[in-house]
Amino acid sequence: MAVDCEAMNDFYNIMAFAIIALPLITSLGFMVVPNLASRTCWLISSIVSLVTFGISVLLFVSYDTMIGGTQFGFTVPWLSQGINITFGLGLTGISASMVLLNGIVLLGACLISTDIETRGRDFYVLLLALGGGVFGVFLSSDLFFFFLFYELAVLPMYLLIAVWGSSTNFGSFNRSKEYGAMKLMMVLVAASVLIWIGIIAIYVETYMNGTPTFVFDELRILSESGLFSSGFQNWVFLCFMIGFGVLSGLWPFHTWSPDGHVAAPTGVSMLHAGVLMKLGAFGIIQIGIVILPLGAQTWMPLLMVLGIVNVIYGAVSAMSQTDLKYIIGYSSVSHMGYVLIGAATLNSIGLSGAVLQMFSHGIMTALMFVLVGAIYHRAHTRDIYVLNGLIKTMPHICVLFIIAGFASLGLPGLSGFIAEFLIFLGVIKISLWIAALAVLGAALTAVYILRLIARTIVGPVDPKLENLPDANKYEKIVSVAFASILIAVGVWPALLLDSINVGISSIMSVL
Amino acid sequence: MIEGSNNLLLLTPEFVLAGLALLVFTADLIIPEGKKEWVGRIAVVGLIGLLFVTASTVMGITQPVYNNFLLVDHYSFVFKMIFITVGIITILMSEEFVKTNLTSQGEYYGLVLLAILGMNILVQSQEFLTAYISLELLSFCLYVLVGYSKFNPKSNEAAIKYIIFGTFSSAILLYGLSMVYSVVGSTLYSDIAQVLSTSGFMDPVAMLGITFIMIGIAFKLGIVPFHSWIPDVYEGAPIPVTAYLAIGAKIAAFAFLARVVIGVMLPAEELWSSWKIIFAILAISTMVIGNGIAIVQTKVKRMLAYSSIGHSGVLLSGIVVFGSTNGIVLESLGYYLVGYAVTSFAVFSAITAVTYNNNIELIKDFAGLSDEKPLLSASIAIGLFSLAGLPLFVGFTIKFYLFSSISIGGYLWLAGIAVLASLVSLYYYLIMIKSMYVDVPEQERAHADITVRWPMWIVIILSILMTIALGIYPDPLVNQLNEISDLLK
Repeated sequence: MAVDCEAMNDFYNIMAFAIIALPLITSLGFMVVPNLASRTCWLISSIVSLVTFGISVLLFVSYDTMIGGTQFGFTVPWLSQGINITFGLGLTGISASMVLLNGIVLLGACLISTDIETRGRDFYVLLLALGGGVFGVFLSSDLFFFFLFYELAVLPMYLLIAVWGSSTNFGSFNRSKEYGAMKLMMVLVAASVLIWIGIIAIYVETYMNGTPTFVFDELRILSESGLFSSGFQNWVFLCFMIGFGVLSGLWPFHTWSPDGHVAAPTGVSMLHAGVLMKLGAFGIIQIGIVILPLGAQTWMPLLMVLGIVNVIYGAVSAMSQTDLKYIIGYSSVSHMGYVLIGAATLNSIGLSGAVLQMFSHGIMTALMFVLVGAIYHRAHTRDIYVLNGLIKTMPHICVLFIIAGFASLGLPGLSGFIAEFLIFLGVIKISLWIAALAVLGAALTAVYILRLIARTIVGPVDPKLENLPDANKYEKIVSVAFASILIAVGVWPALLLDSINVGISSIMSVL
Repeated sequence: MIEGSNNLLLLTPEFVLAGLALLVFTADLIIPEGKKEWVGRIAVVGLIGLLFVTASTVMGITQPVYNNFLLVDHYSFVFKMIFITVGIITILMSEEFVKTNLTSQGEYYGLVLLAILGMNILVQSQEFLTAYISLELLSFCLYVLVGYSKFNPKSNEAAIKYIIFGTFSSAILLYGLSMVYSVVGSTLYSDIAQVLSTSGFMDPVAMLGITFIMIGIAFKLGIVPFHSWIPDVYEGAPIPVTAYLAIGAKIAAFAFLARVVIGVMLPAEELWSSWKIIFAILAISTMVIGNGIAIVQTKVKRMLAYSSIGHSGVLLSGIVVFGSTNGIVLESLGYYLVGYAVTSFAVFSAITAVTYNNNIELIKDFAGLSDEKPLLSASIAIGLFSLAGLPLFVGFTIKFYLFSSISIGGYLWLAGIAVLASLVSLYYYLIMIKSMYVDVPEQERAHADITVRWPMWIVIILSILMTIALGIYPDPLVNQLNEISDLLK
């Protein structure tokens, strides 16, 4: 029996490693094999991402919510001399759902990228590197590799956007794809500078204590033993909060995000808005709060205020945009504000809501980008004043768009409702006023989503758009699957909340 | 002290190297015109053999030679291996360039070998005159190599600038040395350190002497404000020589500086506590100015020159923490140097391959390279990402390691500035990457006539592989380097 158990554990360890290694190895493989056609690369990447999706489901399902804590973990020495770094993986209740999210979105992003013709091989090299990096961030159990994978996930973005992206030209408003790519890359790496400094500061503190380590669990124990003084926690947590916050679109550092999303090709936008922005919130919740709880308590009021600004500002900006992708880009900023507010409540219900919102928004925004990408691919415009009455020409796309939109504005029965509801509940415990503002934000979301639907989907058909084809089969598969997930989580949130709550309760014990 | 310290067997690698250089010069007389690449190949084979000779004769030995003038130890062993390897790679990547562009091809390889000899003696000297002579041997080879493209006015200009600046800095070093000698009465590091740590700190002549010596070394290393020769020389020199300057000569000068700081300054605690502030200021100004000016460069070589100045600043900030409680800074610097070397070779070798038979020098001339020569542009891009400190490449790990050890030494703020500097560097590296991958070339098939032969492929593929391998699995290398940290204890 014990042997069986060990064998099973080994199997899961290998699976946890494989889900990171597989995309990265495939990516390197593409680089060395000459003369691969785009189509072949697409096929291989889709198979690989199907496998990683399978593993992510397996890991999620096998995560035992009865036991909780870090599971499927292993640690091997990586740099035995000097600063002593270990390579370790492990799955917590929170990362289980995040790994699943990335598995889903990566598969979707690979499948719908059928329109990548130029330099297809390079595209998949970078896309898989991105996917592997994100898996790595969620699964790492030490700060060094967490940061390594984080930077690895940022690295491919420049080329992915600058080479395969699209520029925006509205006459009076021009944004080249190179601009979007450069802005995104520089802002994200600048944010990582803060994270880097924070990580090194924590390491130095443990080194001075005679117990140098990067491992989360050890850091947590050290933190509980009172190694980090409150003054130290205050400044390091601020570094983390801003550094990770930038990645999740924290106001006023959010401007890279709409520009980047808009310039990126569809598959990349999906991964980017769907998963990459979640890395930041994940870092705040899983690292910032756990290792630096005193710092978290000091700064959370600020984060909550900024989060509220995110929600309102993002929604107001989305209302005034005329480009479909910009609307969704700003709506992401707005929705990530809920995640930040939820994290800032520091109570279990708000934190659960935040994590569920991360998942729900990841799927929802990825779905929206699939559909917007499909519309843009056919109509060659994203201007909502040009697009009209699309429901007659593209019924499939439009129906799903409406579902995604309703999930976005928090309609009961869809996943967004549960998440936002939990966050509101968490916030009410802190302050009624903030909760009122958060609900106002949800109302504003309804305004821009309904405006979008009224402008583009319903209404008279523009004769120029009459003969456009509907979604192709991959877009259909992906969008229907994503919409089903939104509904499934909406009607049966325990699916995710069980494991999320386990993760959150472990965080709550340090506060 | 004198007994048993003249074991000349310990200098076997140097004798073999000198013999190899002479052999190469002789071979140049025999091998007919048009087959001169064989001169280089003889040199490569000889150097590979020398790696084994070095490993078998001096590995693991710590023993002074010539009355403490030279010290054979693990530190010098590691750097010798690095210099020889850098020499091998430089010769391999030079072959096509030399064949196409230079006259008197045979001597080129001989000079590269003699430069290695200079570096090897430099890192093991324990005495300033020996160090000075070996530094001059190195510098004279480099002066000639920089001006080797003799029908190219830029190369001539660069050589003249380099000679003027180089001799000037040597003169300053020598002047400083004479001042120190006038006080101490010896040129041995250990004697100087002893005097400085007891009474010398108050002596203005000795202080001025030490300052002049440091200025001399700072010139060689290209530390701001003594950096102004670097961009011009790097730009004018034949590109493999530029690589050799940026990699080999820089590592040698740095190894020399570290040795002087450890041998002369660290024992004099009072002196070092004020000098490390100076080093910190120099490091910051070097990082800021090097990376800041690189942003506005339009020529590839100048961009790389300023970027290499920026890297000197990062290295210098590692020196600041010498003498603090932390014992791993030297190994992290060693790791940084090795990582910097392989990464730079990935960049320089691919750029050499692109430019050896045409006049491409602007960043925008690289437009469209990724379409026509994907592997070359991938090599440049990987190298640049690595230099900017992004994973999976070695650049990320070396920076993380070095900055951690700087922070452990109590200089977290300095590490913070270094991280910011590498953020700035990412910007101008991305401009280069954008040019290769995104921009549309002015003319179709601008890079059609590039042919890359096997020696160059070996260099490029090896550099890419090492850039990735050392980033993913650095343990064996760091274990090797770990022993050089003993020097600091």
